[in-house]
Amino acid sequence: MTRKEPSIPFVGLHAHSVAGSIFDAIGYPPEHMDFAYENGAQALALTDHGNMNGFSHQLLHIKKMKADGKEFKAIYGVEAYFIPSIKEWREEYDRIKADAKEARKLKNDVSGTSIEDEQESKKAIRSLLNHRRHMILIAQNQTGLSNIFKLISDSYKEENFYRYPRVDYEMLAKYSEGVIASSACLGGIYAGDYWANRDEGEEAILTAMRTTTENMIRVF
Amino acid sequence: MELGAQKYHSFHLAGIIPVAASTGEFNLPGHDVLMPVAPDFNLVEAAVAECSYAGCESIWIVCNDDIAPLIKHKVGDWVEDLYTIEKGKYVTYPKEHHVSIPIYYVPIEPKHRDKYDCYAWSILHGANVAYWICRRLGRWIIPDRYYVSFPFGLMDFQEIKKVKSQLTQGSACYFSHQDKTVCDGLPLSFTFDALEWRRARDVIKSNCRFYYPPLEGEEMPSRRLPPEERRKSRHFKLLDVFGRADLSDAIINEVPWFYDLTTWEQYCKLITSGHYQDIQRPYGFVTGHISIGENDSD
Repeated sequence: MTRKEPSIPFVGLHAHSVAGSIFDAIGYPPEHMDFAYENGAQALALTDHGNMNGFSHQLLHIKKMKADGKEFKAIYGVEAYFIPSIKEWREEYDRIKADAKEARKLKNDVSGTSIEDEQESKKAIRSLLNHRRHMILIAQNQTGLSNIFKLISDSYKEENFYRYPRVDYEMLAKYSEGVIASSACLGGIYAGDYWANRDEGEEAILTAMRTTTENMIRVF
Repeated sequence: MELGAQKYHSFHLAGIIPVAASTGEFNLPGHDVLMPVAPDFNLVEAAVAECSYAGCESIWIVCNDDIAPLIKHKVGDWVEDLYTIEKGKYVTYPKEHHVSIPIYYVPIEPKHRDKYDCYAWSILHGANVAYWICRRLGRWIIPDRYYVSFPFGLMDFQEIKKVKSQLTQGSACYFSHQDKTVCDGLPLSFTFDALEWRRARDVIKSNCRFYYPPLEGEEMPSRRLPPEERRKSRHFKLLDVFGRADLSDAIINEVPWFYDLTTWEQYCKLITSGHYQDIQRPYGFVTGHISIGENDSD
């Protein structure tokens, strides 16, 4: 078994494992790391949804790889659930909950873990309160890692948690030191600007994306 | 030939092997599913072979992180489809007909542990993960049915081969022994679909309360249930969850012999009966690990 030598250096910055994202992954972090190493990657980030349950797997395996003389780097991170303002979201949630009819609709829309058909799933996506955007947060150094730990702990606090742990601009500003953020996937923040404004045209989408960028520059 | 292949692949039967929350009386150092039943053949391998004979296109072993590496070391990442291997005996180039079935390892979600992770939940969780992973890959590979193969329920593989065509059709199939099925609490293989999944899930979820439902005008529940009533579903047996399944349209296949190997007594019965001679590592039962870094161009 020989390690492949890639023509272009490559590092994966977005990956899930069953240690932290059971419904999005196959295989444990050590298997992912071995695969990345054998295929020529120099590092691999593990970014599970809203948690860092794979962190210990990563840490133990990277020690083992180093002992075996393998030059590889484990990047620690998380794919956080982001909304612009938790305070506004909470107000909206309380308002809808007070309205019995809307509350029933909310209960039906967010059904949790279930085998459901596509129509039902689309309904869940439509639910405003269930909206959350994905955001990759990667630790740049020890301070960044500590800040990501704090962010995750805070996101699970009662005021920030409803079915999913959430972070917002305020929390990011508090713990931004040493943290690198990226736009994640089709469920990411910039993709979210597109999905939210696509009916209003290109200019509206661009305006929303510019606003997001300005906010992010202010935070990081 | 092509039409046949399309027809074969249009139905996805996902095999679920529940290991998490299962217990036997053997108290082995690893897990009781690693109890041997034949030379170089243990209970979990028997369950994998059963799924392979049943025509499953993917196998999902539900086991937690503590035991997964050990089972994976023994079982591997894929298994040869035993049905095609047997069929391959009669063709010119047998290897061309071999099909590998992928095996995936699914841990129970941490948030479900110690809340409602009973044995039945392992089955439901395995099916749920199989559904979501397949759905993310493509709607054409979403499982149509789920075949549950219990590691502790040992029966004759020949019986599965006889009813393979029934298993890979739309209707529910249950194996029975002395007119008892999984609905009577025996770990006998069966198939279920999304509707049955939902019904079984509701049985567990409605019995995993910690609080009484909130009173009228009360926003959050505050009155705790008595200790014996809390998280009641955690202690549910198969009978409690699957006992009320609708068998009116189901195909029930009686198996001539069956052993529930959770008990030492049943294990002794198996060894002292003549049936243990029928159990052996099936011809062509090859499992293996995915070689990381293997050169694809070879």
